[in-house]
Amino acid sequence: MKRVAEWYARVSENVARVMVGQQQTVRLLLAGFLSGGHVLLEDVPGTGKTTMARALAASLGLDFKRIQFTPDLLPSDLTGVNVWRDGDFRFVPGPVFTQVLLADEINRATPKTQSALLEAMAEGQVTVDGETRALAEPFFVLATQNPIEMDGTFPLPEAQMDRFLLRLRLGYPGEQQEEELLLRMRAEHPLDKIEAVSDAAEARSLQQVISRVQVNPELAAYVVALVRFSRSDKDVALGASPRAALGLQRMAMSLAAIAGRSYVIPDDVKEAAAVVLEHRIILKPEVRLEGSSAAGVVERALKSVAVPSEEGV
Amino acid sequence: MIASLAAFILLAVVLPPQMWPGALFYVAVWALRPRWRTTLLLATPLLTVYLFAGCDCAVHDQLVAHFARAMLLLSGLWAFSLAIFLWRERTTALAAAPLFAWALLLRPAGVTLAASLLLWVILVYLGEKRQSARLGVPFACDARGVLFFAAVLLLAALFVSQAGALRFSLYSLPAGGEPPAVVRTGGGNGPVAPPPAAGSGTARRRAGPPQPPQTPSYVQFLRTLNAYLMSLSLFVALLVLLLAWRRLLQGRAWRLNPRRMTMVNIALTLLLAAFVLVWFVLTFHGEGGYIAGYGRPLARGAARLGGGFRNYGSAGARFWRLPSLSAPLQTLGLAVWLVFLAAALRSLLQRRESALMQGEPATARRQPSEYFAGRVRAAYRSFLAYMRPLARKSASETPREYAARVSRLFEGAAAPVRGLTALYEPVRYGGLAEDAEARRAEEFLRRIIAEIDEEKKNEASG
Repeated sequence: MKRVAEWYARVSENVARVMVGQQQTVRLLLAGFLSGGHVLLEDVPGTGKTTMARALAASLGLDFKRIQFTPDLLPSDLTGVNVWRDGDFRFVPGPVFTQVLLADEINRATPKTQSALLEAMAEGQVTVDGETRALAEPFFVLATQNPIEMDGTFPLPEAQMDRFLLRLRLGYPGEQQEEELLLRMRAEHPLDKIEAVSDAAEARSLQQVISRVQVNPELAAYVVALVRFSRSDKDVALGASPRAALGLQRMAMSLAAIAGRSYVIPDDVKEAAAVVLEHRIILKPEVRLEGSSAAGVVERALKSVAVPSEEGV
Repeated sequence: MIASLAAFILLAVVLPPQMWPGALFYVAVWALRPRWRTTLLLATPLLTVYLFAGCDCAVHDQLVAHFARAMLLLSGLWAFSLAIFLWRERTTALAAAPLFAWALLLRPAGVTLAASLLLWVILVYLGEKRQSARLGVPFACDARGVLFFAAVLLLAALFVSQAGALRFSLYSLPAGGEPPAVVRTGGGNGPVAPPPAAGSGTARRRAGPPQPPQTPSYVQFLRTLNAYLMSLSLFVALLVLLLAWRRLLQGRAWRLNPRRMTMVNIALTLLLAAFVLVWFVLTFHGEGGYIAGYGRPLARGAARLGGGFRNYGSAGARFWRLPSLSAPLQTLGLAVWLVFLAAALRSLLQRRESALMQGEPATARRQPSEYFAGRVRAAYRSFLAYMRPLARKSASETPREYAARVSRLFEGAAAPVRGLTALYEPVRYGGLAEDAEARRAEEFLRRIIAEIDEEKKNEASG
């Protein structure tokens, strides 16, 4: 686990040269990457979602491609097409054939195109004209969406939201951090000078190391209890799925490894719960109108479910 | 348990009955411990002394007497260091075991043993009760422990009383010369006193009159009392020394860890084995002591057997006295014990080698131990119990969240609270614990209680 912690320190320090005051988000992002999941960055324009994705890809030393989702984007624009050339059909791979894919404003594409990407995310492969092609490893999708501007968008259905391991928000930087940002960007963009501090082979090996992190059976039961609470809450129309439970456990394992531990503690689960469960919980319409949020449900779950600790005291 | 039982049977075969109580006591103490291999290593030197003492050797010359004293000193040193090790690393109740065993080796008297045990039980009971009251947790007497002590007490008393005349006692070794003539001053289990030396003033005074002078009854009574109290006072003196040493080391980083303890054991065992060897050589080929099962030596001018052996006559009427078998049996017992020791050492070395083969550094953590994990968790439970009236931990709070809250409330105790939590987490969720963790957890608990008590006192006075 020491290797994972060292890797995390190296990469996060490199990303921090570009992203100011986003240590916590970078931490969760890297944990999501180690877990083998995909991340949805949800925030208003101009908060650095694209910069974050590019800085991360550059630091990890992985292939990076960006695709801007628009209503007229077709699935083949994403996956690739077979074109007639020199008397034969030749496959021209789409942007999905990369290691880090930034799907910008994913909610602007039609559900058909969204589905094509989400299938690739879930299966790690794409099928074009009946031929299945495997995607690169590691394959990490960073999708962004703007929660404010809803005109001309196609919100991701619940089933597709479930495919994202995490939903993160960058938020606006603090006053001092914004000033520092201006100072840094005055002459040149630090992204231009950023260098890779890792590579694909190391990333693949570390993703396998995560599987060795120990999860106490009582903590696994705690994860299940949290997920089940989200299903039984009075305000919830649709709770978190078993896939969410798996994701929560995997994310907690990654957070433990990043901290240099070979075992998960309840704090890892709690930290992971907020970003893993929230986007998977659908509230009842009337409750949503009253101003309640899925974050409130997660908070209630964390305050209601007993943490496995010493008993009888 | 099986290993301990086997060890006792082995001892019962090779030891004369008067040595059984000590052996039984010693082995029974370990019967409840699961880590019998370490136990075996820890027990080896004293058991070697027992096996050796079971030879019932008497001393005939100055050289052998020196050896006997050196061995006694070594075994005492070992018993004392083991007691400290147990006190600091294991449980308080067990710490007295090597001291008892050693005291019993010096003077195997049932009454003094029972009195020492009783005293120890009372001390442990009062100490535990005081600790529970201080931590604010309900005091629960360990029924298994009480039963164990009661059983040991009864069995020890039974065996000592059944063993009849106790002839062996290293304590009564003369400075040299003739083997001690047994002069009983007390009851059946009383001590034996050496006869006055040939040139001494007492001998000269006694040499004149044909009738030995009548000892006043009160002197006889005082002698008897003194004899009975001697072992008890020896034990009490050792106990006081142990307490003083513990107090002196309190709060310092000093500790005798099991690895060092093993090294001490190996060194002592080898040294004791060397003593045994020298004694045997002197016995068989010189004018040293004698080995004749449980027989008594004849007069100095008794007929010699060939090859340096001396005929010491019959072993006595008791059914267990089999002089022709005792020496080979004892040698066999010693050999078996050494095989046990070698097996235990081999296992330890193999474990270390396999750890190195797996790429772990030489300073890798020891294997998880349920015992030490239990101690860390017990310390954390005590912390929660102590904090209950001040800041109760909610069910949904993680140990870290709780530590942060307590640290805010009691700033002085912040460091030990964080320390205890950091030790508790790997034990509770990762199953990792080693002896040092347990020790530190208990130290943190003490510091938390001291800091919070101090803060409460300051609040009350200020």
